[in-house]
Formats: sequence, C-alpha cells, structure tokens
Amino acid sequence: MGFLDPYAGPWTDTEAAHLARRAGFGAAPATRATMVSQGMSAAVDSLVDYSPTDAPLEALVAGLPGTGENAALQNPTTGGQLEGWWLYRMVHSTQPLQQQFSLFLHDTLVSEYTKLSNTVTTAMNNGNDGSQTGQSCTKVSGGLAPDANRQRAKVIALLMQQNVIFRTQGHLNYRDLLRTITRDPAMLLYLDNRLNIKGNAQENYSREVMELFSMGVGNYTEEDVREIARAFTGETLDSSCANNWPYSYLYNSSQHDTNSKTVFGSTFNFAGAGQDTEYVIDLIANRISNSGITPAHAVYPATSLYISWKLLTWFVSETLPISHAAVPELADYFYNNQPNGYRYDVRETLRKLFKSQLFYDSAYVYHMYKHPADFVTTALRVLGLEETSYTSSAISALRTMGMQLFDPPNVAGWNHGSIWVNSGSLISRFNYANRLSGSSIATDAWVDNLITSGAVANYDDNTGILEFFRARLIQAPLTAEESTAFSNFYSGIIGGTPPASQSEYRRKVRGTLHLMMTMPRYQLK
Amino acid sequence: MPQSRRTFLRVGISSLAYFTVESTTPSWIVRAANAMSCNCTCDGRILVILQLAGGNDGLNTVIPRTDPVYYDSLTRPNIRVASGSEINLDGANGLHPKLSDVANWFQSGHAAIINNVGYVNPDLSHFTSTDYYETGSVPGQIKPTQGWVARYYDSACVGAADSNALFMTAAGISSVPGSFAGPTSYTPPAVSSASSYSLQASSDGTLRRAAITALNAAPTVDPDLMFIQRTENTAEASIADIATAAAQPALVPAGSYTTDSLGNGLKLVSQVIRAGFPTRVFYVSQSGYDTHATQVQAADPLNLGDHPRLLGNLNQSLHAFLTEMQLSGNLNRVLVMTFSEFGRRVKENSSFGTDHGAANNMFLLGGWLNSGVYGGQPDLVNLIKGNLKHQVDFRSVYAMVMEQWLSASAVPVFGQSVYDTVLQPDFAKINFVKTASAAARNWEHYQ
Repeated sequence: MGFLDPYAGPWTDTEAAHLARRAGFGAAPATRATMVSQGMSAAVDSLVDYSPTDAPLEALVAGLPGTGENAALQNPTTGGQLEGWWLYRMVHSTQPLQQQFSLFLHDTLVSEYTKLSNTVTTAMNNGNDGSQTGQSCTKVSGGLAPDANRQRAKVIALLMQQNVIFRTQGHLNYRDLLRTITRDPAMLLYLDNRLNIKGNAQENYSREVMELFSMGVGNYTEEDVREIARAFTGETLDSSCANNWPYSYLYNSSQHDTNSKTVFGSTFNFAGAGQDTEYVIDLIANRISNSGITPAHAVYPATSLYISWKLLTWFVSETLPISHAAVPELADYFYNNQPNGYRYDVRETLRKLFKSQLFYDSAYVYHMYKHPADFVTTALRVLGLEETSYTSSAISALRTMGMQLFDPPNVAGWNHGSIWVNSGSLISRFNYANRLSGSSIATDAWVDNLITSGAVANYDDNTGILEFFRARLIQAPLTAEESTAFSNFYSGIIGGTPPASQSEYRRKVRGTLHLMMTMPRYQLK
Repeated sequence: MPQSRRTFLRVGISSLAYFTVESTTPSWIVRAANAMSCNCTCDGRILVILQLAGGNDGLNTVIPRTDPVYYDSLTRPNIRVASGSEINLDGANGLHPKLSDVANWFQSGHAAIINNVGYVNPDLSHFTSTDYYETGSVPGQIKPTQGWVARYYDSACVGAADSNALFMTAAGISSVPGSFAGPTSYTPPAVSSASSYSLQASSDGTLRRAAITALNAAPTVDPDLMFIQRTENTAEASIADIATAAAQPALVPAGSYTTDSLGNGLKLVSQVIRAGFPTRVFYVSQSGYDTHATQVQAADPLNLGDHPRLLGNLNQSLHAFLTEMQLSGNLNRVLVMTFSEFGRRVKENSSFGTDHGAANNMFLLGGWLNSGVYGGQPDLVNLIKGNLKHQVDFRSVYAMVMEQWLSASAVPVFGQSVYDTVLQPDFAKINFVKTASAAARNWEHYQ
C-alpha cells in the first residue's frame, strides 16, 4: 500500500478544515460545508484547478477607490507597500492555493529585496539607467524622481514581475520554470549571473540552482559547479538605455565561454544563443540521484526527489525526512506521470498529494507550524475582517514575526517548523491578535453582527461567542482547562452578575478574538 | 573542577570585602557575591557570538601584507586591498582600512585574530557549512541534534541557581540560532527588537494577560503544544528583564551603532550586560558576506562595494559596543567571538567578487586576552582546489573559549576522542586568553 494511494477515510468538516489550512489559509465553516458536500476529490480539484488569473481578485484590486493605501496596493512605491501588495492578495484571493503555492515558490526560488536594492542602486549609480543628469542615457519617460525613488521602483517592479511568474506559471512544468527563473531579471541580479562572464566564471547561480532549486546537495561535484558556471556565462541583462526598465534578459554572446564544458560526464559546447544553459537545465532535471538516500530513491532524478520532498515539507510535515518512502513515491508521480504530456507537472502532483492518504494521516494533522503569513491571513479570511493598514502595520507585524515578504533571510529561504516560534515572534503574534481585536478592525458593527447574524444569541451567550471563534480559528475541541480560561475571562468582565451590557458583550467578543489567537493550537495547522 | 571552582569563588568573594557596595556597583558583582552555590555564571563572564553570515572574505579582512602571492596579478588584480592602505598589525598581517577602530582595539591589547580556521573536507555550501559551525561538528560525524552552545548549557549549566530566561539570548535577529537549538530544559529568547518586546492589550489587560497565561499552561502531552507553551513561558519570563535592559541609557552618542540587525543586536547586548543580568551567551548576526559580485567597485575598491560597506558597519558597531563595555567597567568580562561559515576563493572571479572558499579567520575581542595573530600565515600557494587549507579546527577555538573563558569542560560537548586528538593539539597555537592565577583573574574582574 502506497502513501499516495487515494484517501478513503471519513470526509467530514475535520478533514475539510485540514485541507483548507494546508492548501490555503483556512476556511470559514460555510466554505468547509461546501467542501464536505463536494466530496474529497472534487474539493481538492476546486483548489488545484485554479486559473492563472484570479479575476474576482483583480477586479477587486482594480476597483479600490481613492489614494494612499489603496493606490499603494495597486502600484507600490516602497518596500512595505510591495509586501502589502502581496499580503492583500493572499487575504482576498478567491484561489487560496495559488497564493500559498506562490509563497512556496518564492521560498524555493529565492530572491531578496535587500540584495536587489543594494545591487540596483549600485548599477544605477554607475549610470546605465538614465535617470541621472550628466550620464549617457536620457531619462526614461514616466520615470520617477528623485533617484532613490526611481531605484526603489525598479526593484519593486522586478519583484512584482517575479511574483507574477510564480502566480501564473508556477503550477505548470517545473523544468520550464527552472529555465524561466534562470533568465528572470530579478534572479539574474540576485544571484549575480548578469555579471558571469568568460574568464574566471562566477559560481553563484550555478551552485545555488543545483543545491537549492533542483537537486539538493550530494548530486554534483565542485567541478560540476565550475563547469556549469562557464556554461551560464553571457546570460545577462540588457542594460542599454532603451531596454532597461525594469530590465530585460539578454544573451551576450561576446561574453559567453565557447570552450567545451563537461557536466556530469557529458561534454558539450553549443553554438546557439543560450543553448548551453538550456542543455544544462535539462541535464540537471534528468540527472539520476546519486546521493544514496535509499535504494528506492536511487532510480529517480535528484530534482524530482528534492522538489517532491520540498512539497511534502511545505504541505505535510516540516520534519518529514528526505529518506521517507513517500518521497520517491511522489517523485515517481512528478517525473513519470504525464497526463498533460510532459514530465514535472506541478498541478497534477499537487492534486495527487492532496488526495493521498498520507496527506490526511492523523499523525500530521495540527503538527505543522503556521508561518507568519498563515497566522495573519487565516484570521482575516476566516473572520471576515479587513486589515486597515496592509502596507504598514500588517507587514511590520509580519516582519517582527520573522517573515518579511520578498526578503527571506538568505538564498535557502525561511526556516520552517518550530523555528517560527520563539519568544519574540510569539509576542509579535499575540500583539497582532490584539491589533485585530481593536475597534478599528473588529468594529462595533462587526462585533454586533454576531448577534444579528444569529451566531450569538444574546449578550450573555458566552458559549455562542466561544463557538464562533473556535469553529473558525481552532476547529479542534477546546480542553476543559482552555474552556475554563475563557469562562474566567468572561466572569472577570461582567463581574459575576449577568446580564451583560452591550459594552461588556463587545469586550468579551474582542477579548475572545485576541485570546484565541494566542492559544498554542492556533500557532499550528 | 567543581571543587576548585568553589575555592576560587571564596577567594573572589573575600576580596570583595574591600569594596563598599554602593549604588554604582555593577549589579553583577552583587549577584556574584550572593550566588554562593552557583556553578555556571557566577564569575560574570560573557561570550558574545557574532556570525558573519554568507562567508566573509578573510583574505581581504586580514591581509597577508608581506605575501607576494596576495599582490600577484593572477590572484586578486581588481579586488585586493592595495599595498600600503592596510593597517599594519604585527608586520605580517594588516587589517582592511575600514576596520580602523578594530585595529586600535588590537593595538591596545583587546583583540586577537586566529588565521587558518576551518575543518577537514570543507563543504562549500552555505547551509551545510553553517550547520557544522553551529552544531560544532564536521563532515563524517553524525550531526548532533543540538547546537554547540546548547550542549554546553546542558552539560554545565542546567539547574544553575542564577541562570534565568536570558541565559542565552539572540539579539537583533528574529529566530533562535542553530548554536542555541535544542537545550533540554528551556527555550532561549530571541529579541529582534526590544521596543516591541512587550505584550499589548487594547483593553482588559489584566484579564487578558491572565487568560493568555492560562491558555499557555493547559495540560497537554502534545510535543508541539508543549514546545509553544515553553516558549510562551520564556517570553513572559523575559519581557520585564528586556524592558529593564532597554531602559539603560546609551554611553555612546546617538548613531554610534549601525541601524541594522548587527547594530541593534549589539546595542541590546550592551544594555542587558549593563543592566546586570547574569546572561552568559549572546548571539548576534550580520548578513550579506556572500560577495560573488561587486565585492568592491572599480571606481574606489577600498571604499565602494559590498565588502567595504559590511566591514565599515562591523567596525562601527563593534567599536560602539566595546566602548560601552569599557566605559561601564564590563570590558574585562566580555569576549566577542566572530565566525563565518567559510572564507572565500583565493583568486577573484570576473565579477569583481570571490566564490565560496574554505579556511578563514576568526576575531576575538574583549578585555581579557592577549592581542596577536594566531594560527600562522595563510599559505596562498598550497591550496585545495583554489581554497585555503585549514590549520586550526574551529572546534578548538570553541573548546578554548569554553575552558579558558567559560570555565567549563569541553569534553562533554565534543567527546573525549575529538578532544584528545583534534582540539587539544590546537590549543598551543591559539592561546589567546590571558593566563593568570584564579585569584588574580578574579581580582582583575572586579576592578
């Protein structure tokens, strides 16, 4: 019996909630009820079969009225606005897997805002941008001034462009995605390949593309790193005055090393533009694992194993080891199953995973740690709250929780699992919960609507209040001690003598919102 | 060891009798005087681990200024530190001019450098090699599940009377570093920003805080829920202390520290130390050293580019920190130790940068050490695939810090056989801690 055999167990609210927490950002009870009535297979299909364009979301963004925050969410001009630009889309997406999976790809095929910012600033100061007087280029029309704004705008444009690649192409073919990202301008800047020229070829991209983007350590030698660096020479950016906004890819044949290269024992030297690079990506994608993890692993391409493992650690368990037998099983599907006629079909692999018995194994349920974007996005989505400051308060909360979108700590992305939880990040999580419970977000109208909508019977319906939040934030039953903590809180507010006033009712609701997000269970998914 | 420690303490405390304990007496002295039974932090000594993340180019940090190979046109024609612009340390070695304050600390006896630090069969992956440095292990070993500082804590300090939530503190970074990962009995705090390190409640603060505490103490056997509860306990236990520390006034002008994670981190470390907490080990980090391209800029290689910028920030924040330690009378009980996952390739690449390398240097800064450059000169001729060979195992430096500085045996941390065959033979090459009798050393601390 395989780990990826179709799940055939119960399909109730419990399992639908698990799927929603992992493949999206949680779901409110009504959405879960729909998922239950659909059945497991159709519920997974409706998550996985997302469109490259989330039309309702785009319409929402386009229709944002006014200036300030709204304008920033449409066209960010600072780093914080860029982060808010994405967070807003996570919160309002009608295709949550598209956003969760884009985050997976950002975390796998990393670029960092900080590095791009330093690099672009230097490049522009050295004069290939045209925004400065006395330099050879003329100012690009529509450009911003002064120069610091213009430099920042360029970095933002580059990272938005990369995000769009993940959002619109990430679910297709992973081999193709590797080719695309290799020539993505943000990546050419981030891992320096734009400066990789013949002579003493530079190894940054050649090493990381193998170590982190495809095969993982143990499948290549230092000699392979050096040879691939030579194969990648000349893959750069067009920095001419006409084409430098934001930057476009250019193959510069005069800087390409035309001596023969030997990679994994294969010797080649192609004459066509960029052909060496494409050949190398194919070599990487098809190279059989030689890392000797287990005999079952040894027959699959290292990339199929490594990316399958990354998928499993993102969606099933951060601590699942690469030696786990589910890894070659998923790799086999990823590489050999070709319903659409090509290998490395990401969407079909995700579908297989979300329908597998492994995915619903109770050993994994509630044993992953919410990353900061999960923590924030889930609460806003399932409670139907609207953040009033995506581009400032919300993203600064994310940063102090340890996740600055578009700026992971290094080329390996964020560390996941229990490392998300430390004293400082917990304090930030708790304080963000407090922010949501404030009257500017959990408004009087929102709080009172719990009664209007019938979720809570009256001001004294503590059970109704508790249940409203439990069903959305925790889903699991509360323990006796947890229930007691809430009932003590409620008695503290009304001083032991019902009936509660409207203001006491509102304090109870807002306190419950805050407190439930501080529960250890809410940190997990 | 325990017996001699106790004897040593009595000597120390009797010498305290010559002092009047006034309000200006650093509180760690009072704490030390009161902590008769402590076995871990009672001597007040502090280790600050400073990570230079990304692989610092050691050869452009400490320049082998008399080695013609360094200046050869085939080695680093574009990125080398031009002859004569380095700051001479000891004739054979010079510092990058951006490290001018560090050079002054070196000349005044407060800095040591160990060259040629590394390990066998060096790995050129950032993450694999960082893992070795954080766990204190090398290729071929089974990777320990705990960081090397966590193993030190478990072997020497569990249950120490005066250890508190701040015992190991990550400052300026938003996660617990690998070196601290996995102590058996507590979770170390991570304080990325002291100003946001407090629990807020928009109303019903007392009631909400009581409920948070209760919700984070509900009995469970789930290991993940228990871990989160333990972490929440650490947060609650450390909030007031961090606030106390953050209230410590600066002893250097505003702007002395850089405003990055390094500067923010060292500033907080200084405040925690000056506030008198018995914190034993701190961890701060500066990132950006992965200088494959534009490590320097052609227009002005000494001042422009990523490496001069990073070294300038490092110099500035280290100088601010050491100055505050000196002004507050804490310099003699502080040791800063830098590490980086690897050095960089001896030859530059075509991008005005350097690719991943192997052996590197480590810096030690503080009041109680012998200035000098240890570990020998780098051999720029006999390379392994273009990279420097190591002469000193990095674990030997850790072990010496543990034994000579923290007064704890390194054997439980690294194992007897590694200790005997690898670490101990290195000790003679790197003896940077000032030696003195226990009594004299203790006396010196209390000055």
